[in-house]
Amino acid sequence: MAAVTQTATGVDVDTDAVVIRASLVDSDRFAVIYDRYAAMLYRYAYQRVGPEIADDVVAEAFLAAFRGRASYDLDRQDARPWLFGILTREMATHRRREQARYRAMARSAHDIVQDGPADQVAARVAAGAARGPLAAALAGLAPGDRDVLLLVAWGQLSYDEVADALNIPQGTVGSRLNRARRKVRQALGDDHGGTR
Amino acid sequence: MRSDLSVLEEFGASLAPAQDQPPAEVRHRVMNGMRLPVRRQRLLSRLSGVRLAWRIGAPAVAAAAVTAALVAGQLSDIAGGKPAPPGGAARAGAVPQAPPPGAEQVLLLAAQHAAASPAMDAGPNQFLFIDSVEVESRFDRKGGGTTVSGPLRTRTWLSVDGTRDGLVIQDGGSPARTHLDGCTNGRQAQTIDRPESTPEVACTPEPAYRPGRVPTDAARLLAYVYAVAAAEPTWVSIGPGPDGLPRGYVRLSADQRAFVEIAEILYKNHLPAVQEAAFRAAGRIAGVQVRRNVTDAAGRVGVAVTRTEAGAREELVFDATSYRYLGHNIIGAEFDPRGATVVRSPNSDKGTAQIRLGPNPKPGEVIYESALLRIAIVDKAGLRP
Repeated sequence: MAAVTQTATGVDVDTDAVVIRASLVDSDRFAVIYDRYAAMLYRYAYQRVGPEIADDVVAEAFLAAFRGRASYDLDRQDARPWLFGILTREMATHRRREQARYRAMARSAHDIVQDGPADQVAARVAAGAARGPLAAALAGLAPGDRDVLLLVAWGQLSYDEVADALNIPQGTVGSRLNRARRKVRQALGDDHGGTR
Repeated sequence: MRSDLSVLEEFGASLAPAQDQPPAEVRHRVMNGMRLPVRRQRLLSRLSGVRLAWRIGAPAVAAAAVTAALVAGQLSDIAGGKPAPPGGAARAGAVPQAPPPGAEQVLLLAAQHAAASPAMDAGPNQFLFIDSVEVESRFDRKGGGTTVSGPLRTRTWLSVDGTRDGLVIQDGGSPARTHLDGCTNGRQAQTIDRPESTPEVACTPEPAYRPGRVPTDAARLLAYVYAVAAAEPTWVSIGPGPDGLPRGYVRLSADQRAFVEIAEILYKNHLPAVQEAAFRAAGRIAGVQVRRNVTDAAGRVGVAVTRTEAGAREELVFDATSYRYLGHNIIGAEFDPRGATVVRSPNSDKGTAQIRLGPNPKPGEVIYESALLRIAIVDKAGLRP
């Protein structure tokens, strides 16, 4: 039974690099990359630029990835950092809009209605209280710093992966992240310090 | 105490969409955008950055997938003779006479012929009509075999000033029509076959019968083709590995790329002054050779100026008496990748890649041929003179 299961799920176990390489001659194969990462990229774009343009930036990012697939470094098995890098560049054209969105959230933070299971509500109230200051802090970050911070916090990328995605040295990732976190902590009143 | 990052994560979670997947339209849009454009790569505009993009899937699979066996009899039938075997040029000097002209001389004579050709009257809103015949070998990915299409009669209408929409009609089982988006007000669709569904990008008009950005001075044209070559490097796959995908790529030299670019200019701009400059410029590219008894796609035998690299011999074919330009052939040639630098992927944001799906072409096999029958000026795309 185990063997059967393995066979059944083994159909699509090619690494991203293998799929992208195959898509050079059979472009339909690139659909696999979409299906693997669409949800992840959509969530991230939705969080940053909002529902109105998340669709656009995700579609454009995948098409840009498709068009640029010949330049994909085949030594990288995992395409996630590459895709997040492309998505980041697509979203950069909406920077003002993203900033305006955070500012609007900072103003309307007190309107949030909390509803749901008690423990979740408690967590959300804590986050909700932080919402205004956080949104204001994000609006005030330098674009490069915000990219690094959110790729880590929302995109769940490691430092190495962020360096890869943004094509910047790891040291730069570290310094941008430190600077961004310092501002976030200041916004939160400095009582959320330290490491997690 | 919770860290700033976990508070930020919670904030992020509160902004996340209710549904996991993006709307179905997004997938549809991406899949539609990924559809391959139709072939006719040579008429795709020079758009920095986007070419690799589209071409790698398309001509890669169409024109460049090209590589493989010509059904030998097919061309011979219309050619009335076999294509010159490899090394055939060496045997040409059997008849005692003055030494035959070298490559540079052939090109000089061709330039003189072009210079002596009267320019036609052409208004900016008219079209250049090009009547030609094409032979192309294609590899069928699904079936695994190579077929040769053609010779197919091909009629092309190109905007005289480059700003109006052109058209290509190629005969076949059912005639294939390809719309060519003109460069109107500096904007042009990114693909040639779906102008309505792909974004427009900035462009510079490419006139078919006026001086445009292609210089009419040989030295400047030469500099131009090398600039194009540098900006748009070309990689060629070195043949399939066990999985049927390219084992790697080699980069064409700047000289080869410049030579290919000249063949493209000859196809796209027929102004005598441009053609003259192109022939003179080709004569200054290192490594050009002369080859006799070369047959074009229409079966005419002439003399060719060739340049060979990465398993393909590019041939500019001329009438051996008048030195009128007859057409362009791409023929399989010996390819030894051992001396070349092979990379696994082209790994560049720009340029083009040619992927050979089947085995590398054998020496002498036709990859692509295009023979020019005649040109004329007409008022509308689709109108025959």
